[in-house]
Amino acid sequence: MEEPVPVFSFRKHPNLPISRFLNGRLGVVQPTFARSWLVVAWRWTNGTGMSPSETEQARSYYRDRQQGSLYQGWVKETENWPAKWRQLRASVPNPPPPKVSPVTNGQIAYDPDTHQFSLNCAEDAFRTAVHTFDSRRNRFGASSTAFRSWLTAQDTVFSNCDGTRLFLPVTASADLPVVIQQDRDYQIAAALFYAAHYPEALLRFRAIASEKKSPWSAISNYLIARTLYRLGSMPEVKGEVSRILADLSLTGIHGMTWNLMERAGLHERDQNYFMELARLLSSPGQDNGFREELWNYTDIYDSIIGPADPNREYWYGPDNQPPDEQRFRSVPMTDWIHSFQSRDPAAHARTLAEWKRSRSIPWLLAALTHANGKEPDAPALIDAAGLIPRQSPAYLTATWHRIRLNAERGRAAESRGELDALLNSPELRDLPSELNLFLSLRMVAAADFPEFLHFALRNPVLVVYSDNLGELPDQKAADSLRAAWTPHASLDRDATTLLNFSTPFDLLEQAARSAGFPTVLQQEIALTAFVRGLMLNRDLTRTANALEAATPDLKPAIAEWGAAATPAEKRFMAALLLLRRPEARPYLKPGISRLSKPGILDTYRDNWWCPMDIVQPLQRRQEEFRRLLIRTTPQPDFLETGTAALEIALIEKEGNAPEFLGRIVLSWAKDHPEDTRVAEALHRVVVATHLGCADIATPEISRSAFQLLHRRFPKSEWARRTPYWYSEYSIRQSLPK
Amino acid sequence: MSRCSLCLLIALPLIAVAGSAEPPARLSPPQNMLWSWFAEDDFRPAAPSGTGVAWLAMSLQFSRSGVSVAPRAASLRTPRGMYEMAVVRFNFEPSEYPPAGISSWHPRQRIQAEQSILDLVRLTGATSLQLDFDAPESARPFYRDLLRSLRAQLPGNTYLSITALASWCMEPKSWLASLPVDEFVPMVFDMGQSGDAVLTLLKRGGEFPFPGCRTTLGIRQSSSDIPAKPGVRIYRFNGGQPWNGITRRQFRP
Repeated sequence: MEEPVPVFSFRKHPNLPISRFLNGRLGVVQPTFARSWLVVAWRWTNGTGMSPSETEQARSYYRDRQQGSLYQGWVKETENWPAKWRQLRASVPNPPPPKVSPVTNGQIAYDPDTHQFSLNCAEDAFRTAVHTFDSRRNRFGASSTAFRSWLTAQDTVFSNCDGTRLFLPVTASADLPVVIQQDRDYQIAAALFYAAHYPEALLRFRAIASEKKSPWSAISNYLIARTLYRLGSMPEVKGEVSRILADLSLTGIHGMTWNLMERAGLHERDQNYFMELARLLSSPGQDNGFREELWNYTDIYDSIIGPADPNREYWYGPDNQPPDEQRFRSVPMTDWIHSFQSRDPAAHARTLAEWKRSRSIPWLLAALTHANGKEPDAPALIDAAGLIPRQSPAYLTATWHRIRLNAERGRAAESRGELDALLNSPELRDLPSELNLFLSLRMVAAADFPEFLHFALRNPVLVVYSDNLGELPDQKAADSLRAAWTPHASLDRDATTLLNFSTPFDLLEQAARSAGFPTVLQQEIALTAFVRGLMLNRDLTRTANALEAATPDLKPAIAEWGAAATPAEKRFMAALLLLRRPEARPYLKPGISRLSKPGILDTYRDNWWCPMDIVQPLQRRQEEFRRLLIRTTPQPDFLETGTAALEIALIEKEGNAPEFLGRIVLSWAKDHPEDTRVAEALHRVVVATHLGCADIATPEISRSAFQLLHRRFPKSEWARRTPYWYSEYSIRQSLPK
Repeated sequence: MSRCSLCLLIALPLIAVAGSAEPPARLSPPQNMLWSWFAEDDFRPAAPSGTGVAWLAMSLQFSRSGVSVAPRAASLRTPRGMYEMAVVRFNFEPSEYPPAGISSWHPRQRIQAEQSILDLVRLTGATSLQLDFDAPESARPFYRDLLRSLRAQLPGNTYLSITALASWCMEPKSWLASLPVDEFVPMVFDMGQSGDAVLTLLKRGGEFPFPGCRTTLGIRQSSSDIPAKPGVRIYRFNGGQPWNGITRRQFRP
C-alpha cells in the first residue's frame, strides 16, 4: 500500500539540486548515501575536487540512473528510431506491416536461462533501417520489386528481435539490382545475429567485410567484434577491436568500437579492473571517462559486497558469505567508502587508526561518523573537527558530528549559541536537509521543554510515496501527493520517539497547552495528552481546555464532559468523546499522522490505537534503525525518562482502544441503567470493535456492548444502527433468532 | 462374455475420462516462495528444497493514454525443478485514478493489459502466474473483468494467484470472493495506515476474517513479527534486493 511519506532529511542522496554537491557544497555526508556520492565526497574532501567536465560527466551518470528503466537508461538518442521505423513501415500497406509483440515491442528478447528481457535490436538497427528504406525507395520506387523485396526481408530481420526462433530472409534472386543483393547478404547476417546464431552470423559478416564494394563492408567489421563479444571470445574481441582502431579506412566505425571496448570491459570484473577504476576515479583529469568509470566502479562494488551491503535496509537475517574485506582495502578511496559505510563495530577502530595515521580530512569524517562521545578519543576528534574551516567541503559534516559528540558528553548546552548562529548562517542556506539535521541537534540541546518543542518542528524537504525508497522527486505523482497531504511543519521520528517514550504526562500536557504548532499538530498533541491522561487516571481539566482551544468543534463534547458530576461520569463522558474521534491515540506518529480527516472512520482501520506492547517495539525499532543511519540521540536532561517509563507500563496494561473505552462504557452502563447517553456509547463501542484495532478480549467487549444495547434500548436509533457484533477479529454476529 | 463386450468394458472408462469436463491439473506452489523483484538472483548454487520463486516478469504502467509495458531487466537463474511463478505488477498514477467514485479504468486498457499478459505467457511459457495490483476501489470492476477474461483465455493448467492488500482480507465478505483465482496472497508489509491493526490481529494468533486469505501470507523477509502457522504458504519479499547475487546493468552489445 503506497502512501505519502514526508522526508525530513535525505538519507540516500544529498540535497537537491545535485549541482551544489557536485560543486563541493557537500553538506552533511552520510554513510547511507549511494556510493557514487561518496566517490564525489572523497574527491572534494581530499582536495582533488571535480573539474567542470567531470561534473558534467557525473551529472550525466545521475541522469542515466534517474531514468530508472534499463531501456531508457541506455537510449541516448533524442529521436525514437523504432517508432520512426514503424511509422514509416505503416506507410506501406502492401505487404502489411508485421504485428509487434506488446511485451518485447519488437526490440527486446527473452532469455529463458536468465528470465531476462534484454535489448537485442538497439536504436542503431532501426536508424539504419530508416535510412536504407528512404534510400532504396527513392532509388527504385515504392512499388518496385527491388524495394518490396528489400522491405519484406527487413521485416523478417526484425522478427528475430524477440529471440524466440530464427526467421531467415530468402536469398535475393540474381535478377534483383546488385545493391539489393548486397543488402540481402547483410540482412541474412543480421537475422542470424539477432536470433543468436552467432557462428553463422560471424561467417557472414566476415564475408561481407572482405567484400569492399558492399555498402555494408565497413560496418560488418564492427559487427564481427560484436558477434565475438556475444560469443564471449574476449581475446578475439580485443584482437578485432585493435585491428579496427589501427585501420584508418575504418575511421567511421572507430567511435562505436571504443564504446564496445568499454562494454566489453564489464566482463573483466576482476580485482585489477576494480582497483584501476578506483584509481582513475580518485585522480584528476577524468574529463572524458568519469561517467563510465562511475557506472562500472559502483556496479562492481555492488557485486563484491552483495548481501553484506550495509545500505540494505530490510536485511535483518543472517548474511550470506561475507565478502573478502581485502578487496576493499586495495585503493584508499575504496577503503574509505567501505569503512565509512560499515556498520561493523570494528570499523570504528579502523577509521580512528587511519585518521591518526593519515590526519586526513576524509578519514577524520569517517572516524567522527563512527565515534561515540563517551570514548577516550572523542576529545581529540572534537578538537580536530573544530579546526576544519568554514569554506571546507567537510565543514558541515565535521561540525554536525562535533556537536553531536559534545552533546553525548553532556555538554549540549555549550553548543546552543553555535547552533543558533549556524541555523541562521549562509552555510545552511539552500540546504534544507542539513537544516533539519542541525535542528535535530538543537532540539536535544534545548534548555527547557518549550524550546525542545520549538526545535522539534521540521519542514519536510520532500513528500514521496512510501515505495520511493530512493527519495527521488516524483513529478508525475506531485499532484496526487499534494491532494493527499498539504506539507506543513511536522514532527520527525526523533521527536516523536522522545515525546512518546521519554516524556511524562505532565510535560505532554504542557505541550498541549503551548502554542506555536500548526493547527493539525496542535490538535493531535492535545488529543494525545487527553487520551494519556484518561488512561493514567489524571485530572483532565487543563488538557480539556487545551483540547477545546485546539479543536473548536469539540466544544460541546468538552462542555458535556465538564458538566459531569462525578469522576466516574467524567470518565464515561471522556470515553464517549474519544469514541467519536477515531484519530485519538495515546502516542504521536511522525510525519503524516493519519490520512483520514478528524472524526471520520478510516476504511483501512487506522482508527484509535493498538496495544502499546505491539506499537512500542515497532516505533522503537524504526527509530533505532534510523539511528544506525545517522548516529544521534542524546537526550535532554529535563525529560524524566523514569516517570515516562512507568506511565508507559500503565498505558500498556490498559490495552487497545476498543477494550479500554469499552470497559469504561460498560462499567458506567451497568451502574446507570437510566442514562440514555449509554445507547450511543454502546453503539460506538461496537463500531470500534469492528473498525478499530482488535485484540484477544475485543470480541467479548463487542458482544457485551451489543447485547446490552439491544436489551436496554431495543427501539432506539442506536440499536437500529447496530445490527451486528464482531467476534474472532471482526466476524459479524447478528441478533440471536 | 464375448470378446467384443470385453472390449467395450475396457473402452468405457477411457471414454468416460476423455469426455469429462475435469480441468487440467494446476501445479500449486510450494510452501515457501521468494519474490525476486528488481535485482539479479541466482538460486542455482543452493536453492532450498520446497522453495519456489515468484519472479517479477513484467510491470504494466496504466495511464489515461494507455498501458505501457516494462519487462524484467534483471537476470534470474534457477536450478532445474524449482517452482517458478511469473509475476505481473500493475502500476498506476493515483492522480489519474481516483480511489473511489467514478471509475477511470477503461475496457481498452483492460484489453491491452490482457494482451500483454497473454504475450508474456507465450514468450516465457509460464504455467503459474501472479498478478500484483493494489487496486483502488474504482478499479475493482475493471480488475474483476480482467481476471475473468484472462482466466478464460489462459491455458487451463495455469495456476493463477493474486496479491491482496491486507485490508481486503479484513472483511468476512470481501470483494475478493468473486474473483476466479487459485490463490490470494495477503501482503502484511508496508501496510500503511492499516498496519498496526493487522499486525495486532496476526501477532495475537488471529486469522483474517475473509477465509480466502488464511492459507497464504506475503511478508517482508526481515519481519520476525508474524508467527508462522503450520500449513500457511509464505511469500517472502526482500525489499527488491537480491536474495543471492548481484545487481548489474545488462545489455547485449
